[in-house]
Amino acid sequence: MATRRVLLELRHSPNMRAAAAARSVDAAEAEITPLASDAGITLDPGFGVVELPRDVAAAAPRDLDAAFDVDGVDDLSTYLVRGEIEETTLEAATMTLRDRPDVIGVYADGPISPMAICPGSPPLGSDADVERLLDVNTLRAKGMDGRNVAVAIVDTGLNIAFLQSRGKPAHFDEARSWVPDPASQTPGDLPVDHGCMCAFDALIGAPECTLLDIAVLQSTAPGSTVMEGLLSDAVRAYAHLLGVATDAAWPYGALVVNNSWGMFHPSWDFPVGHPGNYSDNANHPFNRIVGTLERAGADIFFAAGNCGRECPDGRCQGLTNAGVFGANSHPQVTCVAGVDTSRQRVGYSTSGPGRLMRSKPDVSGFTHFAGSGVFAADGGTSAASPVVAGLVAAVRTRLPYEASKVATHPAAMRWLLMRTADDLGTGGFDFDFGHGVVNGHKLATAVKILSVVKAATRGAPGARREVPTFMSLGPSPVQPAEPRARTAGAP
Amino acid sequence: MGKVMITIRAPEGPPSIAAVRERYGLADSDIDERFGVVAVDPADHAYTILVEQSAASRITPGQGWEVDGPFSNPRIEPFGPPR
Repeated sequence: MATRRVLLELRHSPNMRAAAAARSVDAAEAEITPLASDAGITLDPGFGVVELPRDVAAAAPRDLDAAFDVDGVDDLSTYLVRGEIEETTLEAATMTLRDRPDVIGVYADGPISPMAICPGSPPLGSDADVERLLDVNTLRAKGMDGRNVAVAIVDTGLNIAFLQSRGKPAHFDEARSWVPDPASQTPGDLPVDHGCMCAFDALIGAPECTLLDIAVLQSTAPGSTVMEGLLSDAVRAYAHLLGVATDAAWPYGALVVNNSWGMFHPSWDFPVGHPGNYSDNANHPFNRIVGTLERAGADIFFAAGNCGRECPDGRCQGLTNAGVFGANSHPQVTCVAGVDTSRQRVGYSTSGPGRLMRSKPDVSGFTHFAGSGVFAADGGTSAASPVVAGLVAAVRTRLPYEASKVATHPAAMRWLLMRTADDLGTGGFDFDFGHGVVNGHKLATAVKILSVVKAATRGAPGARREVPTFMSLGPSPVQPAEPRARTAGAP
Repeated sequence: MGKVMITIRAPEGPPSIAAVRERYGLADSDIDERFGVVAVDPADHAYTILVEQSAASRITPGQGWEVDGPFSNPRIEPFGPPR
């Protein structure tokens, strides 16, 4: 039988005051027990009786005599006791109790949790904490640092000099980068903005990767403004990536593609059900080319979005239950939700389901920490996505993509990432956290096992194929930061 | 009026902009040359073009080509620090 915890507020009596002083219901048992029994409430003796001193001035602001009547002050106090009641009798019991002269009120005693990170919240932790949480030291010790891996930041553009000034001496491949208008834009030399934050956050896990600047959100399309683009720009950019990644001269072992952008509201799109709709339509050209690039071997990451129910971005226009739109929920990409460095979900992180594939987001990544310095916090699911992309870029150094080996395909990497994540929220997959927050230590161990097995079975027809059992990898030695209480929206 | 995307399935390989323009009687301003003809799924011979919405109805299947669309071209924005 389902029960509900309730708080009862009772009027003053000498016995109640004595019970509060003794922190026990015993002194007021004669008053409290029959009352609770009549209402079907099982009292919580551990809570005792808590006095709520009444502000005399507030109670009688115009009566100065009463304000200074010390004898009357005690009478104004009230007292709380806590108990449990069956859900089915709650309404009737509440009515009964409210009719009694010794009862002031009946209140729900709901669970409390730390306030979620919201827009405007200060950063929680720093990029050094994220590095620790990803267990970058272990990754480096295993030779997993992003070397020989290209990371395409599909965003507002990069500024390599800025990244260097922030302690990230990034490798950069200008020749394989892309800008919408080469006549007026130079890859790697674009204004410091959102793209620089994403690049910085990818470099946390993969400091030796090579960045590709894919400046989709520098659209020169008519009607666009700074920091936005059109989906057709993304189609062009993906065609470019497909071209360079399948070229015979492609020098890298893997391509990781980060996308920290998307569509905020369905009003930007054709309606659902229209054959040209984007959000729910796998046949849309962008959704098709995303699938094509993944089949060519790219690990593709998309941010889940910032329309979380607790504190959505204003551009969501209040719509928080619409799920994850379009390619951000593509079955062939990893969709990343956001948690802070204490592993609490940030309140703006969009929850699933996905519109193309229902079970989205896939995993959670760290966000809302002090990092690049581009913004007060590297925030949004925009930061969570490149953090996860960087982690995968790191392990790709030891497990490069090989078309002939299924174990190296993007689908296998997604499986490893989900399987090694630390479960959060309800048991197993859920629409807030996906399969949980990524765990660099377990992922690195799993990839190491896989690469050893792959090497051992290479060229040995009939050799026994072993599948690592990730359940036995053990807990991560890395512990999250302590959550701290905060006020939504407070600076 | 904005632009929309249309996917053409041409088994013989990617058509040129000129071939698309000629086949459908499109003016230079009807089709976005900078976007070009994008192979969105080469294995399926699927190629996408970007055209003015007013011209989309003239692009119809036939003579060996299949046509899908028009598809929306929504704006996209960063999921950066939320506002």
